[in-house]
Amino acid sequence: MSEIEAKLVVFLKDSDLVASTAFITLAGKMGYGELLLGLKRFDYYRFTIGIAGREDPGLVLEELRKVLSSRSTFYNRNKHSYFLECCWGDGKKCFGSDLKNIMERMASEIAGSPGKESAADLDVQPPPERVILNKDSIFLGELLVTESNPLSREALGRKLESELAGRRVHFLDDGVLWWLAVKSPERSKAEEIMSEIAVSVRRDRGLLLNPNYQSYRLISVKKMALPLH
Amino acid sequence: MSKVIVVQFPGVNCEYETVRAIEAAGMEALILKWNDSLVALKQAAAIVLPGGFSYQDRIRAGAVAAKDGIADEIYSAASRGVPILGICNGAQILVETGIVPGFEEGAISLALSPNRMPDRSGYYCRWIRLKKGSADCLFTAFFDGWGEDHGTYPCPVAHAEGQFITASKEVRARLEAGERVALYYADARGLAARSFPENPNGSLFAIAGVTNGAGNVLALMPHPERASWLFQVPGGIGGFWGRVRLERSGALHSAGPGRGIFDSLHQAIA
Repeated sequence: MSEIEAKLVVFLKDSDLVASTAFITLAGKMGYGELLLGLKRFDYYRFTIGIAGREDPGLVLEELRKVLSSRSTFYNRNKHSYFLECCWGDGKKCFGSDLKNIMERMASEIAGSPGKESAADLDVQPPPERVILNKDSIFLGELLVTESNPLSREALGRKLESELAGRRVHFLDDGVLWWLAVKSPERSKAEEIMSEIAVSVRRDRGLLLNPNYQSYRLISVKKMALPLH
Repeated sequence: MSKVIVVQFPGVNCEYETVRAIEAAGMEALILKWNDSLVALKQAAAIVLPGGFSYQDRIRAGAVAAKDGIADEIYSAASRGVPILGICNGAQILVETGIVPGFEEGAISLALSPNRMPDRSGYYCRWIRLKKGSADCLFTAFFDGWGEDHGTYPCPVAHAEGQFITASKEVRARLEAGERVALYYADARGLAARSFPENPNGSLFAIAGVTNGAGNVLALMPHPERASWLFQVPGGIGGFWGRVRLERSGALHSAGPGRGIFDSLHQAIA
């Protein structure tokens, strides 16, 4: 028996008001406007599916894709898009919408500095006009927020197992994935800023998670390339 | 007389019945929008944060409202000793501001996390029993001398994120010792309800309401404004209030079990 490891990222086709509210709150109300340049939000799942020794992983993946698109357990195709990455042995296959497009759009938004427009519908001061002198100093972090409650992962595993006709499913992660674009002279400082923005320890510090029942980890932090205007 | 200010954040939905409950207890109330001038708030006799879904519970319940400019003034009023009651979503806002439990100035040392219930998740509503905890709080004065139903009052809960929880061992120990615990969920014998459904959300030590050090703030998950009149009490609830409900079926506009919270506030600001 071997297994396929799957990473499923789900996002809204239209504007994500939760992400907009989070960005406006952080940039407009909490004073992170100079440092936080962009914010995106995704639902994130990582799980393994057991496959029998001689079974073709490609057939299992087809089965998984059918289940994902025909049920609403993980996403509703009327309003969500998804990106699915599956790895097994030496194999790897990706399905759905490429996250690279979202990243490019985000970079383009940052380069266009849309702060004023995005704050227009709430009664907060728009973030200050941003001056990005060195475009090499922008880092994009993937920050995963999870709840310290294994019961939801177990329940998701049981549900997907029943939808996949009894295949063994084990959930490794389920949570909210945030992309944070942060201006910083160096990577370590960028990580520090991302953590500060995330963890709500005081009313004026952090927003994305309450550490009394949620935890987080930075999955990746990399430099972000902005388009030239 | 200064007014009790009921703060209307975008997305709350209990502001009008909360005003009615305050008025029924003999006080004047005014609804203040979150982005109105803060003059009235600065002069408030008391502040009430009603239930609902401020900012649509985006990110998590109460998190965004806690970062609003008006929350600065609420924080300052709490420090000055102004009575502040947060009901349900209001309680979530008070927890996210760090006003309660207030062991460490300004620190967010509690959360109201999603309900933990056997074989179900999400929103849950029912009538539960409340009992006074060991912390002094001006809103629970009405419990003094109350001996019916093992010292409990019935009250409805209606929420999806009502589980008081902390990650701090120190805070946990202090809550276990009863510090800042103003009200807890009780079973029919008046003991702390450790299991569902008497404890409707898996709350740590059956906590239903948390106060601050001075006892002028109460973050309360149940809805006393929904139990302020006898007509709101279900006929089959049993106990003292069940009997009263049946006996006074011709006078259902008299006070219900939730009125005591507002009577205690009236007594404190009179």
